Amino acid sequence: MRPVIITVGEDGNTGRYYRNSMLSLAYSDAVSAAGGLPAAALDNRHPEDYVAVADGLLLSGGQDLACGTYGELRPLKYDYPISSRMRDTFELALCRLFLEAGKPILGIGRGMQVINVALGGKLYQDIQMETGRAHPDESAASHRNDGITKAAEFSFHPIRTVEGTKTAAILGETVEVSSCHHQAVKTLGTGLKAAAFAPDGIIEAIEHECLPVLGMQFHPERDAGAIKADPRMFEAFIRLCGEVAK
Amino acid sequence: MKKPIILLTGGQAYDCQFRSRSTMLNHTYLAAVVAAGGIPLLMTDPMLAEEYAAMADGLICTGTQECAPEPGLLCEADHEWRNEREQRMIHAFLKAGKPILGICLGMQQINAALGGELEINFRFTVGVEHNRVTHTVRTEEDTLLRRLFGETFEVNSYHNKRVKTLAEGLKLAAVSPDGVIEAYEHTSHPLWAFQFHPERSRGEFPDPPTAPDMTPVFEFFVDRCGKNG
Repeated sequence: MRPVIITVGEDGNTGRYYRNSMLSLAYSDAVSAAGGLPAAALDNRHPEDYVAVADGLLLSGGQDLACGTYGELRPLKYDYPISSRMRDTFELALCRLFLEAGKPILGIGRGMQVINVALGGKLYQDIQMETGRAHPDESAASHRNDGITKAAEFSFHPIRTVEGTKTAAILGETVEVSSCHHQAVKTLGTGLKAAAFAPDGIIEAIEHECLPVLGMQFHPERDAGAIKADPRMFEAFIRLCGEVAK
Repeated sequence: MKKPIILLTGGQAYDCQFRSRSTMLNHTYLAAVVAAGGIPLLMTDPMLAEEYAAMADGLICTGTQECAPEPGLLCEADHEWRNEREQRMIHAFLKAGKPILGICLGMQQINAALGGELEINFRFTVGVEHNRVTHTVRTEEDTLLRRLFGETFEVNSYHNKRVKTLAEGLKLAAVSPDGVIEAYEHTSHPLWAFQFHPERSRGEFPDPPTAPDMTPVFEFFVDRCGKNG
């Protein structure tokens, strides 16, 4: 039996009759290709039910976490809500329950930030506003996801993995990745360590010191420009899920 | 008792932010399953239909979803995309002997999967409107709907296609006053299907307001899914 991997979708359009959620098939395809059984957990009322039936949690990319989730009182960049309280609380609850159960978690983009926040870490609300530079450094052009639901654009940069980490074992020393974010890990949550950095010092991957938890700021689930989807993190994650399920 | 896992099919969607294909589901279905004590999961890969059928306790084939997640941006529905995933899921759950519930498009898909006929835009051929109207249905004896809601009751209606002829193995469960097949059941498989939307007709504010609270439909189904294994 394939390990069951659940992903939380994002809020769909709210302008129609009924509230809905959606999930990009890029994540489902990546899980499926790596040997998992993908399914979307969309109802936020009983996160404990999903922990009982799933072998692994994939936290996907998407909108910013609300700054209040990591203890910031005032949003720096936007004076209107761009985040989903429902998704924030549901993903944080699932993340904490999977951590407690010792079940594997893979976080991508926003998903990596969710893992960090669930363990008490903090985020840059906006890299450029807080550090005075764009990410990646070498191009100041508008290449970032500005956090609003307009079409996001990817930029590209190399990352260097930290020796001795799981991430280094999976990806090797350096790899070129696609980047699409304006927030990033500022301080690491309890038990987390940085597993890869961009040339400008932004944390590009995190992992837990003892739990099967991997997070990355880049997007290996999809093709972006010349960077092709990279199945390696998904394959490692599904292997972990299979091992823990036994 | 362990809560039954109820798998749901979703509609086609487009993620405008990352420009990628997506799938989506209305929360009305999720709320109905949760209220009935089930754990709802949205399936995402039809090629794994048999794996889903082994993992889950029951299947709900849902109605059509809107295709554009952003107002003003339209993309055309890919009917083959939806047909393929519904057909694969239906056959896998039939083979596994697990309960299936069909709602609106889901009811039409199951009928098609079993070899029944559908008719598109029947408003132009029979001259009756079944989209965004309400009407009564008359239930057949010895059916789930008769047991739950009696001989006649009011339902919502949101469809342009109808079941023209029932597939072999299906028996009529309810019909509208203008002759549209509104519900059927399977004679041997645990399978029920409705042309109306029971998930939108729940609680204190059912659609339409004159309809019964159809929560018992989902309670029956989830309970039945729990008894299968």
